[in-house]
Amino acid sequence: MNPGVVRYVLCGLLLVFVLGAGCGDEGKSSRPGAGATAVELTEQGWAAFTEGRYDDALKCFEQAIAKDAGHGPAQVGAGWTKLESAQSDHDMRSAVDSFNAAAAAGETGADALGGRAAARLALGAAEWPGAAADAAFALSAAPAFVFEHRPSFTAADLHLIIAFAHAARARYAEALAEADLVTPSGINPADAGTWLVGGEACATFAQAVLAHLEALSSSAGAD
Amino acid sequence: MAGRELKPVGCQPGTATLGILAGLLLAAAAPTAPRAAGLTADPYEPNDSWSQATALQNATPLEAWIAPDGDHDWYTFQQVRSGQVEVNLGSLPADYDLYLAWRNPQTQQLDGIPYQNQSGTIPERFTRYLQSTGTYYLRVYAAAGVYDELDSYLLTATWPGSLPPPENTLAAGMALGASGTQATVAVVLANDSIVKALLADLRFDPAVAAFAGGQAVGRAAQMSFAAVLQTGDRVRLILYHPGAEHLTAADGAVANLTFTLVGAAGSQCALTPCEVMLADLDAQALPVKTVAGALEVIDGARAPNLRVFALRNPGRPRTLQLFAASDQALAAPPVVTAGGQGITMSSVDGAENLYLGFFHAAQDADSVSIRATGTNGTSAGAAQATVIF
Repeated sequence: MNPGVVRYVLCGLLLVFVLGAGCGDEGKSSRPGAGATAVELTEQGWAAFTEGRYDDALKCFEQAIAKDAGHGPAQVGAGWTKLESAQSDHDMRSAVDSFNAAAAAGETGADALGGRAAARLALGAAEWPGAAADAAFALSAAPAFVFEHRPSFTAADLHLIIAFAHAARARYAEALAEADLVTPSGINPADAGTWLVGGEACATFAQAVLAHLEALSSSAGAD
Repeated sequence: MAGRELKPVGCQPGTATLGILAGLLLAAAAPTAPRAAGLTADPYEPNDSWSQATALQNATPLEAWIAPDGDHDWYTFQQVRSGQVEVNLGSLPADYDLYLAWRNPQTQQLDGIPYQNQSGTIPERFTRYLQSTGTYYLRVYAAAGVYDELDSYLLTATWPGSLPPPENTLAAGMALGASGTQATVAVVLANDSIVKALLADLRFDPAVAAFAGGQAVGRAAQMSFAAVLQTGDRVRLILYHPGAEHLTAADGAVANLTFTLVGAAGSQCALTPCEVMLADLDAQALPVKTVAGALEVIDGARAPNLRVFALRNPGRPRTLQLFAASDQALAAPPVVTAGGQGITMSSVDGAENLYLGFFHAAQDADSVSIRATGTNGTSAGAAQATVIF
């Protein structure tokens, strides 16, 4: 075979390997793109995240972090990927750790803070005030926020995180006020006649608020 | 060495009179013994840690210095309602930076607030809507070797409104159960003021219930506690901190009182706080409102009516925040399973008989079935729900 052709074919194979294999395609062992920068690996990670390939996404983000621990977007990606695939409190804590690392690297946008808020919400009483604070900071940074890599996660979800954190602390009026910013409920704490959600009467104001939050959560943040 | 020159603060260019006035006020406030000959002392030192933080005045400029090398200046302010907060750090002689944090009342640690500092002597300007009320801290600092003992910085912070009058409310909860069983009522204190001690009588109908005992709970769990039957129809509740501790402003249960229900099915009575006294750190009485609760005797054969609420985590919809509510007091937290997996349920609100737990469904789960059962000691009730992803 013509040496030039051989060289061309080898280069082509290498290109396929580098670009096609990414950070770990399904059925293949993880292998970073040789020479890929942290930015490129992060882009590959988000591509995998968007396609729901969370194992691959995490590998990309971790490789990007290995190349440049101070690359905040990779930490944000790692946080979101861990959040999305969390199966335990430990996983949620790990997601929070990644978002904290992102914040330390200067990632203070709504995507980083909103992700951390969601993870903290799932971590118990000590984290609920912080979850609400993170979501509020995210809202103040981007009142019309839409998460680029999962457009179903929006400013409405940030309001819901605040509302859920209030509900978890039995602050029903505050939870309702925040949820009403998403969709007005018509619920009035002083009027039992308004404790209706989806046509169903609720026994108490607290239950009416929870029913309203449940209805909102069914339609928000879907993946 | 040249002396420090106080900068005009709190005025726009052209408002020289105000600047001179502010300068005179600052000069008047300065201690008479400066730290070094020829230097105006920094009146806010020592404030090198957050426990020594200087309290800021709302919308009032402050002039201070980063010196000597390694100096950190801490400031604090109280925010009583959510709103827009603005912090300006200007007139910088060098690359000084700003750190902001909120003191988390749960952990008592500082939660840093993300802020991207400017480079060089560009003024730092933080503007954000801060949802959380409580204590905020600011730190002005610089890298090692960066300081200026002559040239000052100006710091101004503004935060929402003035303090509304403090409001304190003591509320008794509601409980019900079959005759012969015990019912536990939460006593909830919502206090804006710092509280050192609480004394209250709670009146009830002895034909409906008999006092059985009580305990301090929640944020009052470390307080000295007594609950003593005074007469047949009133129990005296006493909570106090013998040391330097106190209750900070918050809302939550401080005690659980348990009654044995003795009335016939269908009987009920109010549980009314009376002769309530709240004391502050100086043993001065604080204003307090009261809200009555209730005790009710039900037909023991009637099972509790349970309801489950499943809130999907907005960031990960397959993580569920599971609430279980009962219309009766339960003898124990409800047993809740999701996808066949047991969920640990913790009480959220004794008065509402509301419990909360979390469940993480697998990423490929299409749905999850949730089942809750709870007993009032005699009869059990159940509820189920299915969440489709």
